[in-house]
Amino acid sequence: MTNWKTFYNRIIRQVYLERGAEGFDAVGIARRELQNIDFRIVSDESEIPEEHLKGTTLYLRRHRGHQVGRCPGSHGHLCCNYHTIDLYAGCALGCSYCIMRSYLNFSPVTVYVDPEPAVQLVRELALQKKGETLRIGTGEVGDSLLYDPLFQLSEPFIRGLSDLDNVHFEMKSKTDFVDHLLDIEPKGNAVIGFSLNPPEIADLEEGIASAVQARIAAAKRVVEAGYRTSFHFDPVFRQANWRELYFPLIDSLAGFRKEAIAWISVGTFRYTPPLKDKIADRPYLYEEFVPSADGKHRYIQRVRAQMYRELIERLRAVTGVTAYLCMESAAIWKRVYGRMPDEVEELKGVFDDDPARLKG
Amino acid sequence: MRYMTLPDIAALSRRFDVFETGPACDSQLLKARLFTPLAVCGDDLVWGFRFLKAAGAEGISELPVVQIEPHGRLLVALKLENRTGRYSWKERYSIYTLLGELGESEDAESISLAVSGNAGFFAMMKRYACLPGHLKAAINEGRLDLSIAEKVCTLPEAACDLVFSRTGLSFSMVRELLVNLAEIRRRDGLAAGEITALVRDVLAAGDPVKALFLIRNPELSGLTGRFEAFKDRYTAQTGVSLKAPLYFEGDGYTVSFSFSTKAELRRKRETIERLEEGCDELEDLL
Ligand code: SF4
Repeated sequence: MTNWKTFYNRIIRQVYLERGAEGFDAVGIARRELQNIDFRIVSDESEIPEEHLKGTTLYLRRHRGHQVGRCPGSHGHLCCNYHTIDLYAGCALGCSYCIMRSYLNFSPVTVYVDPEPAVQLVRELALQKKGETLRIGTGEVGDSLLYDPLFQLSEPFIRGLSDLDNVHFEMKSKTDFVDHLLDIEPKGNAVIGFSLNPPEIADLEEGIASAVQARIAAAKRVVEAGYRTSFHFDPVFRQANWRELYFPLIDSLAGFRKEAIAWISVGTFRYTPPLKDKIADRPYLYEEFVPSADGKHRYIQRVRAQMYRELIERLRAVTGVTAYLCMESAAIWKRVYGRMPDEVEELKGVFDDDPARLKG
Repeated sequence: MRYMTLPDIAALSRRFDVFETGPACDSQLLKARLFTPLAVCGDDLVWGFRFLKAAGAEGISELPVVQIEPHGRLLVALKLENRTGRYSWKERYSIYTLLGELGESEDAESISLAVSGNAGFFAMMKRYACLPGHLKAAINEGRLDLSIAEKVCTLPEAACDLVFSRTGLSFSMVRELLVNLAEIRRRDGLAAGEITALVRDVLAAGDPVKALFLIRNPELSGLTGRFEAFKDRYTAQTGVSLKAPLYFEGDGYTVSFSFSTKAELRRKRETIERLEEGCDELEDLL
């Protein structure tokens, strides 16, 4: 288990607080934890000095506008029907492949310290869509749990959505920072998920993220505490020995009961040209890539279809769960599953509207 | 303001002589003494080198000069030059180097704004300064942009020169060739001699860009080769055209043909029936 207090001293150097946001619980909690850091009040982000526009700066603010949205998906690629909540925008873990490298270079990490409006929005959405599954998560523009022990912002979502049968609130992380969440009751359908890569890759490419075995150990703790977990094999890298790297990782999930796993996703590595410009020295870029309909570059279709088939088969054999594909084309779905996502029986809960199917 | 003779001005230090282009000095205005006075600071001529040169050519014996303070003198020169955003790479590098010499006496932020119109001048020049001389020269001459030069800086000068000297290549072709070469070199761990030899081979091909693309992408080349062989086997000289999706990404092959007689239609249909027999082979490519 990582000692996150020492950890925060390394990754947070300055905190700016939007005027008017001082009274939120999350700010009070963070102030207690970060006593050695001065919280400077600003009217807005433009007042943060240029030398502090970087990932070691936190900017605490209220949300204005649409805090809840649909996962943007990708042109020509099938979206897994996911909704996103901006809670922590930006991330200091430093994965080499992070898409945010191409557009958040000079930005502080933004923390939206007022969770209540978003909880209410999700509740309204869930009530409007009664009978439909609402998968919703905070891990789209940052790591859901990296700063969560400091701000405890996941808790209001877990509690506030726990009575909604059709809402599956997911926190997705590359950390093992889960212990502050274990005792929360009721948990409802909350899911605590982990992105996984083999240690050989994670150690090189996932910056200061928790060790992969620590993430899996955290997944065990959350399951023991009564949550369901999820696993995201995304991005999967192709290299000559990819099977020797990924299969043992998958095998290490053998101890999880099928019912304890809400879902598993798989997505092969992809990049946008601006991201490639930022990470041109990474050896994984020397594989062969082709441009897809959404402008991202992916492994050749035939290659990734083969990888998906093998990974999904192994995952099914080990966990009993049929994984779904993240941001993939209809052609790939047909090649991997022989069908489109809404026709794959085991994935009905993920892609269609029946909440009962996702229940453990 | 005072007047100085041309020999006295010419004897001043020329380290501020960093502007290579700029508007020409109009001889009529020069003769009428209608021009900005030169800026001098101690032993340095800070600005006005163009006037000095033009005055000599016009036979003018002395020029007006204004003595300025040492603090911010480069900024004064830039303000007099008044070409924000229009300095060449060479000029920008000279300004950057000079600024390194002048140190604290200049305000870096104001200099950046005066040169580029934004705060990015120093970051950009730091990147430029790291490049080897042949790539700096390629940027100066407009043959490469900075981000591409950075990507290809592992290529030996000889390999780059071969590409630059090949006629008939557009800017984007040069860019694609160099980037692919740099990636191949890193991927395959080629020595300088090996990559230069590869450049020679590739440039000898009719379509060097395509030739190199195939080397950079062996699996895709394999798929393309298999598809072309399939087409030869099943559709050559049949009038039926078979197309694969771009980069073998997607679902569908496209078959097209035209006909004008019943017999022609029958022949095309027979070709398509034969295609059906080989369909597994096609499916395997996607
Ligand atoms: S954990 Fe996610 S958001 Fe953070 S750096 Fe890695 S890829 Fe980016």
